[in-house]
Amino acid sequence: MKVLLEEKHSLLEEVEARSGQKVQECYQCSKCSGGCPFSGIMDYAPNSILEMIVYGLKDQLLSSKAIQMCIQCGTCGAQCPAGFEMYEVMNVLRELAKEEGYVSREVKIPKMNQIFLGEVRKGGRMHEVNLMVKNMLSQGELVRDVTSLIPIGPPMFVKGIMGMGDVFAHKIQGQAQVEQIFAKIEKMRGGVAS
Amino acid sequence: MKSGYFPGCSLHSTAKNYESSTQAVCKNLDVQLEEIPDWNCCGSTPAHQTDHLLALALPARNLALAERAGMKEVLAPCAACFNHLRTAELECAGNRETQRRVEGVLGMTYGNSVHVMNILEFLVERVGIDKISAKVKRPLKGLRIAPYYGCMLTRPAKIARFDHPVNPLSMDHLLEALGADVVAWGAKTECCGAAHVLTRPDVVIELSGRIIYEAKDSGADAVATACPMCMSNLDLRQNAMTKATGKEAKVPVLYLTELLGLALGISRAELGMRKHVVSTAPVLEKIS
Ligand code: SF4
Ligand code: SF4
Repeated sequence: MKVLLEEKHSLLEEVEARSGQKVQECYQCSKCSGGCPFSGIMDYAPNSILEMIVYGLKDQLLSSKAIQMCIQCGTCGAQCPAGFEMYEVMNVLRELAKEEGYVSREVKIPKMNQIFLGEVRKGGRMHEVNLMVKNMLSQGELVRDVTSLIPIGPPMFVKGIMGMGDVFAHKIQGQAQVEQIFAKIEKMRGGVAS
Repeated sequence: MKSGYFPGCSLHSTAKNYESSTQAVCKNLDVQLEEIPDWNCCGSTPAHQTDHLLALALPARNLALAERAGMKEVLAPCAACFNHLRTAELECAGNRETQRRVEGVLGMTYGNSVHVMNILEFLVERVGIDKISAKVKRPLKGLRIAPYYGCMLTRPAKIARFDHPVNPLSMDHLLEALGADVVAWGAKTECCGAAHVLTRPDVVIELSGRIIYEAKDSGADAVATACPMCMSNLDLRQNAMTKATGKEAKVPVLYLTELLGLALGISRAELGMRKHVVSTAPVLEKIS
């Protein structure tokens, strides 16, 4: 969905063109931020993000934690009096950040995403046991988080939520097709699909 | 009736009881589920947060495989899988350029002929509440259930295109048809914190805790859900909620399909009822 605009176009124009959302029509009522489950841990609340786009505060915005935290839950959009879909703006901001090589101040989420997608790329499906273990190791928090895992790990096995069959990953037959999806996108992006 | 079926990764691991209860319920309702051959992970939130084309292409491979297998409609019981498959369905159908780009990375053709449904849309609009209530053998009489929709069954509205984004009623109506007492409560579409559990468990415990305590305060015997991610945040984290607040959580959380299965008279073993962290025994006692 890359819309090539010349440098002279502002962040505002770029975001509006790609997302189809009219950023300037926001009333700044901040209902979205009141509703967003994650605005408490975002460095900029959703309504502020729209304001920052208007003011062209590109560097702060594209390296922010907030744009990595949106999960497209749609809570904000359902409450917005202007019928605004924030997740579409967030998608575009993340896309721009990647294209322009910004490093996010949020480190854990991109790392976790990379592990998740690595599992999918290798086997075609996500493997939950590997995901949990690798995520913790990579975050360097095995020691600290092992305590928070204890109430989850053993009960999952004891209750039969997970069994021994879940410890080993299986590959789907079309794994090569899935690999090809990743490889082609990586190539298009100059080597940064996941 | 026949329907295509996309279980998704969770239904094959942490949510096996969602899979078993969905299968059992469909069999009972004379629906033949046909699994998409060799399906792959929908990419979930990580693909969505990483690359838009990847987030469309991964689910689109499944749609293309379903199309090849002659499926017109596909049931995706996991609310998150549903959201991602439906996004791919709509974006490919809505824009020739997007469809072409997706086909390019897939190396497959896809003719936009597949419609993806979530479990509520499937049960309420395809099977029909009338047909279901005619098959109820053990009404859930006296059981107070808090219907929990979470985010992805009805939102973003542009994607889900089903029921109301903030005050949906389809699950309420379905549970009423099963004879349950449906609780009116304020957290039915609150977010459980979803995938943030892997990076910010503290936040997820708080968000999910609000839902569980709201259910408890409104006198619910159980919460009904249709999402494996919500299930694991709501069921598995109740010890942590109790620790964080000093107030005991302890509210059983069941899949909608488990409750439906019980009402249809399907055995607990077939439904996979034992796979819950918070015991479902009080619920079972009340309706036995
Ligand atoms: S709720 Fe809508 S109008 Fe209000 S600040 Fe947020 S985006 Fe703007
Ligand atoms: S869609 Fe994104 S910004 Fe909006 S409420 Fe959900 S997480 Fe927050």
